[in-house]
Amino acid sequence: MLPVKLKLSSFAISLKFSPRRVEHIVAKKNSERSQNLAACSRDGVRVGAAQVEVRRYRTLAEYVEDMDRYVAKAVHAGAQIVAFPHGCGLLPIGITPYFDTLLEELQRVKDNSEELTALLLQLLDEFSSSLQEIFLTTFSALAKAYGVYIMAGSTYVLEGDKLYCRSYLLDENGLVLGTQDLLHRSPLEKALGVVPGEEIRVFDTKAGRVAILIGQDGRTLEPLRIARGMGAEIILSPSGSLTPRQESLADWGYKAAADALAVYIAAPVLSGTMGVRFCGRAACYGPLNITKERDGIVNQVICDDAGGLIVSRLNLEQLYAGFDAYTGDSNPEFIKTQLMSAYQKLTKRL
Amino acid sequence: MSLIHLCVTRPLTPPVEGTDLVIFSDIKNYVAQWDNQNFLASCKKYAQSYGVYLLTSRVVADGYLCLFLFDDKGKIIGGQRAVSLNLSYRGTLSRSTDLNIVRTKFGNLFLAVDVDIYRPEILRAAALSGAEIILSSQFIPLYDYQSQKLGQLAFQAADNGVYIVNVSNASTSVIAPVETASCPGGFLVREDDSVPLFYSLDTGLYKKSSDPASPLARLRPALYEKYASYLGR
Repeated sequence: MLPVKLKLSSFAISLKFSPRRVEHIVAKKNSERSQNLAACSRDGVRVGAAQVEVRRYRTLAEYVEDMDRYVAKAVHAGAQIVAFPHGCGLLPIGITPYFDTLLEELQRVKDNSEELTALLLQLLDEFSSSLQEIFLTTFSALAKAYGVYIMAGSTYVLEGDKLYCRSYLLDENGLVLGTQDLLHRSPLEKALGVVPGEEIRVFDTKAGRVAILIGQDGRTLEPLRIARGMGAEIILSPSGSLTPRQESLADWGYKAAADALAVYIAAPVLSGTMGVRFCGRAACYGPLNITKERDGIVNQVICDDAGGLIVSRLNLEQLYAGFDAYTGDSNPEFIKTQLMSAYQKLTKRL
Repeated sequence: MSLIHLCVTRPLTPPVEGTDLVIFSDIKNYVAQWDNQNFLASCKKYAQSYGVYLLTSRVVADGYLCLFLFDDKGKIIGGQRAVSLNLSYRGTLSRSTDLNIVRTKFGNLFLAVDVDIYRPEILRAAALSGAEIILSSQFIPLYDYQSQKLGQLAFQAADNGVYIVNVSNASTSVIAPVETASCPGGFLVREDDSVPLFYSLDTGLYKKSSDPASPLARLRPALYEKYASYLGR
């Protein structure tokens, strides 16, 4: 019965959605295009990170309007870049008429990895294309309406028979400035057959050089070092931690990376409960010695179970001055010799 | 050996009875080059007379900041030169590109000299080269001491699947790569400033070689090699 319901749901979503409807919903808000990008200064870049509370959106308008609320709030606080969490592109799935059945089914199989994988594959097969279209059209319309950059979290994209986890950076005209695919997969993503990305990209924006590292990529030394080496000053790391342990490790991991690499990391997250509980607090991290409390946190949402948003003021020039005596010394020769040789050995083992 | 009886004590002061491995917590930044022969001779005698393995204080040798590991017979079985330096030492001491994994009855050890413990690339290279336990010896003036940095070490332990024993002049922390009910956040010992400090580390909590989901298994060396020129910047 479930496959039939999935097909019907997929059909229902396609009926409810059209790019024009999304544009109409955004236009109805009469949002004033901001001038936030008109005067970008390297000593005061403003980056917003959303903590999106997962909830069921029963209509397309509910989804678009909720995303609009986060963007509007960030723009009002002066944000030039607004970042959304990992998995944000899957949230419109609540629009489907059989959503409760899907949720029950997910609850039933959540502890059985084989059944869970099979169900998720079915869902992605049926919905990924329409969800991606809703997701991208929504954030494109919002970026254009408000005149800011939006890093639209991530979603799962089927290209031919290949499944990618992909994030988009939209410019102030709503155009896709670039994409970044997930590089390091979780065991579940491996089981789903998500194809890992082969490129690490850094984007020039009016607000500084930006890289996107999805999920645990944003806490993994290598992509972080590579992105920093390519000139990234702000890493946007859409996150969606699930357990308290993963949450505290993520927090420590971001602090360690920001401190050792002298870079800012903005980490938007999902929060709340929908079938599973999403832990985490949206935050922006920086090197210890240039954060106000010397704790590595530039700004953080206070409550971890609700929606929220932070807008952080980042001084990019400070990344190049006042290195911490304890973490400021990197040895490139060691990396070229020992670390690269360790990777070569690992390649042989794999 | 899955149980290691550790004792952190001031240099050359007697260990607690039953100790297997002594780590000196030195209130000086390092033993100067002119004094290193005397100091290492005393360390040898110490290891022999108490029948313990010994991780020395930080010692300057040949212009490098070093750590040495003695076995219980008083023989040096491993050493490591600092790969990165506290910026206040730049210009007076040299940086090394060596990486030595010391194979002992306790497991494979890497000796993290002073601020090397804060460099993720050094810990990653050590873990990929087989280190199971990282013994770290640091000097931090008390006005510079930051508890926040310990959280970063807990992340490194979990991210690399290694135990970390971090000893400074100010405190000792022992961190496991996994969290259990008795060690929230992976901290088996957290910022304990008592000296001597005795702790029995059960490395059976986590065995890197038997972990099917080793954190290192997710790494993508071919991708990193493609971007090697950026990785080393």
